[in-house]
Amino acid sequence: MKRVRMPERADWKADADACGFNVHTMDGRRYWDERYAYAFRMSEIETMVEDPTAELLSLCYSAVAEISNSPALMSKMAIPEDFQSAVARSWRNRDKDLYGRFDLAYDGSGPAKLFEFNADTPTSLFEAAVFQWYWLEDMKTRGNIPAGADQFNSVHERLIAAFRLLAGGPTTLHFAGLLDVAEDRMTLEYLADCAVQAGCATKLLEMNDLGIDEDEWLTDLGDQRINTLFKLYPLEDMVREPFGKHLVTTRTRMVEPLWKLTLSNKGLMPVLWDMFPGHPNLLPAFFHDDPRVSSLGDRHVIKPLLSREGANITMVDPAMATGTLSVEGPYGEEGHIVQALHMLPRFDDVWTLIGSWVVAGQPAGIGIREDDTSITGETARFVPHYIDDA
Amino acid sequence: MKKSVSVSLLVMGTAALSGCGEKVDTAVYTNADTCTSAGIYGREKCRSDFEAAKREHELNAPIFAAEADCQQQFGLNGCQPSNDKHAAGSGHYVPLMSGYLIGRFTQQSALWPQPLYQMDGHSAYRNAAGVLVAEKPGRFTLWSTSRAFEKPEANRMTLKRGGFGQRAKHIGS
Repeated sequence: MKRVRMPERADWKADADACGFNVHTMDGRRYWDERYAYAFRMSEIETMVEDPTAELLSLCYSAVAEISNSPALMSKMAIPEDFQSAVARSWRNRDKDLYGRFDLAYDGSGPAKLFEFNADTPTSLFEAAVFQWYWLEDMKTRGNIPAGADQFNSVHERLIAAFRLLAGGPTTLHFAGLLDVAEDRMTLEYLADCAVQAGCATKLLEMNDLGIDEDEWLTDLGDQRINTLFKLYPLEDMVREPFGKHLVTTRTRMVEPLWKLTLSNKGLMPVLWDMFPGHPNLLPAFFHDDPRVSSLGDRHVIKPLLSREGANITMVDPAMATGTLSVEGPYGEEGHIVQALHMLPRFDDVWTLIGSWVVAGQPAGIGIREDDTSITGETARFVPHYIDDA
Repeated sequence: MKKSVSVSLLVMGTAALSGCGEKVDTAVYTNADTCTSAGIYGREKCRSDFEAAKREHELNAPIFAAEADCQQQFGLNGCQPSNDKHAAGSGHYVPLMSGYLIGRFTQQSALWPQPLYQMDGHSAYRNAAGVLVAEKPGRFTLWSTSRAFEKPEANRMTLKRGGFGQRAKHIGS
């Protein structure tokens, strides 16, 4: 794994705009950054990223079985009591899920370490699945990357296949989210595009335009029953809003399903460590009130059970000038976990995080983000990658 | 190979999201005569599609057990008793057919002449599934994936709306 300097294409912004990737620059800052790229060996991708991703996913499925079977664990993870039996049911029924993204620390040596699993509303999808793919083709055409180079990225194909499976025939899939948030809208439009390519009709709607009919089907603005709803909106928020009670009884199929509440929660990390202690891809982690927290010593990270984009994470390390590094945010009232401190690898002057995608239960590819600080947050930049054994 | 063989976008970026596939030239008319005088479709096509839509109406119009329930949605003068041609049998109530959808069959869409209905107090035309097809009579374009082409299925009135969106403001993770 190397970070290499790459020539920036003069016209990439026009390409990005043309295909709907309109958040390539945010608040005047680069988000898509092709001045660099990461180069991997095929063996490295397969044994150090792809295989561990499959392995971690199977550990997660074991954890879902454990958690969904235990009201005590679910309460510990702040899954509201009223929803616990529905969570267990959705797992028993094997309600299909679509995708997720593991955040891995990997520097080219040693096993990748799992920071967390964005199992419910992962974003940075389009740039990983599509724009990164086009970048490689373009760079090969221009002779900047060898023609035989590859990329760990079958996200697009796998999404289409997953929608074919989810739909089970020509049907209408509804996609709901916060449509006035550009990034969320882009993700929804991209997923809907994949669904169309899978033979489905699609409809986009706002989260607050969802209705419910007398037979407990969710409905859209045209009063049409929603057979399958993909929602780009956190399940943990849905179960805490007044309308959330319908999630328990609705006949509408939810994607992601309710059992994802057990994975898109930092409480997953201590559960995994309890079930698979010493696993090479896991970091020691405990719920904050667990006496074993002291075994982590004075270098650790405190994470809220529910948080996004690095918010409310506190890194404690006496070696740092200030002793701690915190990112502010609105999360944390539901409780915390403490995880052993494992620093992200540094390449040149940046901190690098690998997002490893799973689609319909299979490893599907990676997207790499760099940040100027050691907690990857909203200011991170997406940097493409390629595989070259030449 | 670890990467997708090809990556294409059908509808993102340059086309409207609801669109994909192909555009279908269609029109809504109140009856065969207004269709013919509009001059888009020939007299014979106007008449045969109207008859087909009428048969579909007799067979599959939205059905109500009580006249009052029908009238509540389609107005006091908007309903009639069903006869034994209807799939649900006679003795019920159906809205009056107030127009029909006409167009040309294409490769991708099975466009079929559809009966259309107007809700009480609304001028827009909806099909039997409740899908809004057109705001007013005349010629227009539909995408082949439009829900207007879906066969009707059971459709109930929404009891309440409000949905989600109070907590999260931006959800990226």
